[in-house]
Amino acid sequence: MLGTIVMALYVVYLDYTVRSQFEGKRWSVPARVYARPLELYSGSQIRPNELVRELKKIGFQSNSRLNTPASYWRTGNDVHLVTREFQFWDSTEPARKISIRFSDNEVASLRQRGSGADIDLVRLEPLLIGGIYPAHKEDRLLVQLKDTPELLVKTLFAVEDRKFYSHHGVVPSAIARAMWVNLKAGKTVQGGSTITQQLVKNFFLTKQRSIVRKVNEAIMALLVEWHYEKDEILEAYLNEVYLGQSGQRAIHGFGLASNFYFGRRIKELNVAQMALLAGIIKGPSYYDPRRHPKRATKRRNLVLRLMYEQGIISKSRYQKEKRRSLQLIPKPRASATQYPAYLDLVRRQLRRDYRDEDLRSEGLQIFTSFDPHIQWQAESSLQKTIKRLEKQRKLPAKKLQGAVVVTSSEQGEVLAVVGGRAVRQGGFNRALDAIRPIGSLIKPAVYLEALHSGHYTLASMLDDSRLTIDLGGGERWHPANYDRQYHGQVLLRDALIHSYNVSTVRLGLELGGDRIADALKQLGIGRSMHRYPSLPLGTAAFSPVEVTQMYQTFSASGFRSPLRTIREVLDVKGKALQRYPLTVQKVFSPESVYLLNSTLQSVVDEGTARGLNHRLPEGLTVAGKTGTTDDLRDSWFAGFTGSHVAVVWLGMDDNRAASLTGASGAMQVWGSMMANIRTQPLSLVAPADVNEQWIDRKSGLRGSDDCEDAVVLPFLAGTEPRQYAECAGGAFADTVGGFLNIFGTNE
Amino acid sequence: MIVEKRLLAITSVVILLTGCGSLGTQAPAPVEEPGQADNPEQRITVAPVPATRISPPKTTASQPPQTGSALSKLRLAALSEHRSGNYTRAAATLERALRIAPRDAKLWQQLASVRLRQKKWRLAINMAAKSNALAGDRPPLQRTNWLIMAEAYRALGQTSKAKEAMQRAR
Repeated sequence: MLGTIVMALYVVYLDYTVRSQFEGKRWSVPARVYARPLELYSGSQIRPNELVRELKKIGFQSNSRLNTPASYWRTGNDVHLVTREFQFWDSTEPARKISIRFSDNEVASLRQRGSGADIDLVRLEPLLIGGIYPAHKEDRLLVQLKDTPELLVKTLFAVEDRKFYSHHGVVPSAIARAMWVNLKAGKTVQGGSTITQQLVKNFFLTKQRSIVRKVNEAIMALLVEWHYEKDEILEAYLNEVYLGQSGQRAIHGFGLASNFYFGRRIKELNVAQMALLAGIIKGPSYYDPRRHPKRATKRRNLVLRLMYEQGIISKSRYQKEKRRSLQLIPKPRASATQYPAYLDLVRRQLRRDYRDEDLRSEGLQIFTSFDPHIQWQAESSLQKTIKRLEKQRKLPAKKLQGAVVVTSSEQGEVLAVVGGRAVRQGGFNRALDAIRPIGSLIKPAVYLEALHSGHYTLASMLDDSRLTIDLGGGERWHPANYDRQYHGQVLLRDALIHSYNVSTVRLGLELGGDRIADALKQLGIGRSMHRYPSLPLGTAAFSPVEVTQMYQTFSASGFRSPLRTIREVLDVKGKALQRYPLTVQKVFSPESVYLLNSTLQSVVDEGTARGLNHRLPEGLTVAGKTGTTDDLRDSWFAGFTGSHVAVVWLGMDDNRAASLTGASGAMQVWGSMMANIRTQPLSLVAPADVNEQWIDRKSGLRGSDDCEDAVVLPFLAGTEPRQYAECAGGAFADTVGGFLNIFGTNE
Repeated sequence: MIVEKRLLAITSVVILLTGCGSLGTQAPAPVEEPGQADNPEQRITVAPVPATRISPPKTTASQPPQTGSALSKLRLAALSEHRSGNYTRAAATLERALRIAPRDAKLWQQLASVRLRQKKWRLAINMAAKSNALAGDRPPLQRTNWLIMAEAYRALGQTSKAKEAMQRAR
């Protein structure tokens, strides 16, 4: 009697366990992070080999017959594609057959195959760049029964459970047979488990084999069948079953396994591929098709024979399929992502709005602005340059480190992040966490604040003669220039393009530390900083990504856009949860920023970064600034083209001297990267209130092209110097100029 | 009510202008929920329709790429989304267009007018100012931007700034 009650209670307990697991959330599905979708249109700046490289990464296969989804074929300047349907947050991009013609490294035309009709715009499916995994590292791509090919289900039944639709969870005769075989063999050789039992075993029970567990399994299988429909059980099984291992990551379910072994979606599997998947359920490690191809082929062909014998496929189909290769794709890398530094930034931005637990379990789909081409170029430019520099300068091997951040100019979308020379390894992310003095990269902020104050123009004269600053307590500081010279009276713009320190310290003293700190804050730097007189020389330390925000604001004419990696977040079913929109905030007037940017362009034309030009293709105009810190510990370069902003840092983790200036180190990486991405030349458009004027360099007064040393500089209307320099006629010209001005004539 | 009418007037101007003329440690980034202010009934899906291509002239290194048909398609899609009150989606479509032509002053203006309709006043002001910064010498375009700013300032209760903007719009 007691025994019956205990048994009954035990069954109630098992029933509770079964139902809570089945009805609650069944699986933790990791968040998946996607790159930006590649947009193709007539005029898009991409080379055919870049397109092909991305297609291969997405999983497209070269196939001249173009008769399978996700295939492409390239002939010279033409690339033909069969795309797959993909659900974006706003609409579903349909599967299409397209022909693309390239000319001069851009898309010349985009046509529908067959009809030949022109297509305006195609959004390719985005590259999956990583996942955010649960602690137990189970990974899966959920599939629904209705999306699963019938043939796969039939094959599964043929191999694992022929009577699935007619039994009640357990098949006593099968168990008896298995027990008999096992007893005879003296060990377990046969399972006799139904699909329901296997599901129960995976869901609730340990791997250990014992009579008690077997009994539990049988009771629970009966309970599951009692409560749930066959199709529900089958769908759960399709998603639960263990099918392989990739490092620490366990591959569960047919959805992910299709992708993991063949680079295909479940709908796209052919007969031989289905047979292989159904075959390896028995022992995903033993039949691992990558490690044991012969064994796996044998197993697959056995399944194919079974399919033929049970009338699922015809004889001719059987003969054909068994001759196929295994059709595997190369094993995907075991780590959660190939782009750990970028994913790190994504994760940090997500944590502001999502719980970590949800990121690891809710199957969120994260769409980012990651640009694979730019990332690859940033990585290879950093790695190659570092190796070259180590060799040339006989630096200690493998010590030099670096970081790169690239964003779009106007929108502040983060396109690429490199966190160190070992680009595939996670760990210390220098792009976000290397907080280093930024040296002269800070100067543009100081000069912008000066121009913005209304007290300075580009032609203001600054004093670059010897300076002594009393720091108190008997301590004195003599700021020095990099060339150890003093330059006397210099134009404000010359002080910036040659990165003079002494005149910059004087300018900083005039403005005051608070104003400089405030300007930096407006430019997007949130970190607090000191106010010593050395602040304008960049003795404050920031991370590369913070510096990028600052230069993004310059490149966008004084409109700051908070740097973003994420565009949209979708739930597991594709419903949009959040969008991170483009925002801009005007923090400096476009006029002041124009004056600054034209000077930063001169830095590259005639200043400290003039060596950059011969690294860049002809016609690619850029603006930028070098940065070097004391004892050559940090080498920086920050700059922008017409469409991209990039910041590069090189240095040693232990803060020893890297023996590189901004120009000899970081700038080399920057140049080689920009030369290899599709980017627009910088063409600054003067705001309406800005006029240009010849200026005599020695005096900062109005000059003319007769002057030996004169430059054309932009001025905010009304701030041009009125007096003429000696070389331009001096006092006489002043009088004539004044006379003309009465009549409102403008130079 | 008056504000509403004015809003409608300005955005209509933008829509009209766009419709005919255009075919040719940091602060966290803000978040918006798709569909928040939208009317789901009126969602319009941008179906990929083949269209006659405006054949682009050959580009040189110093010219931005010719992206006519893709851009005009997105512009028109944004316009119909805007008209049907689907502002979040209109904004997203315009952002997509801006990735193709990031310095297109008209696109920034269209985005400003979407934000104005959403009563995101500050954002509308900044976007209109951005459009002005990229406009070069295009008085009609700039006038509309000033109108947008005037309206947003008025809604914020900053009357003197609104007046100033109105004056510049004349």
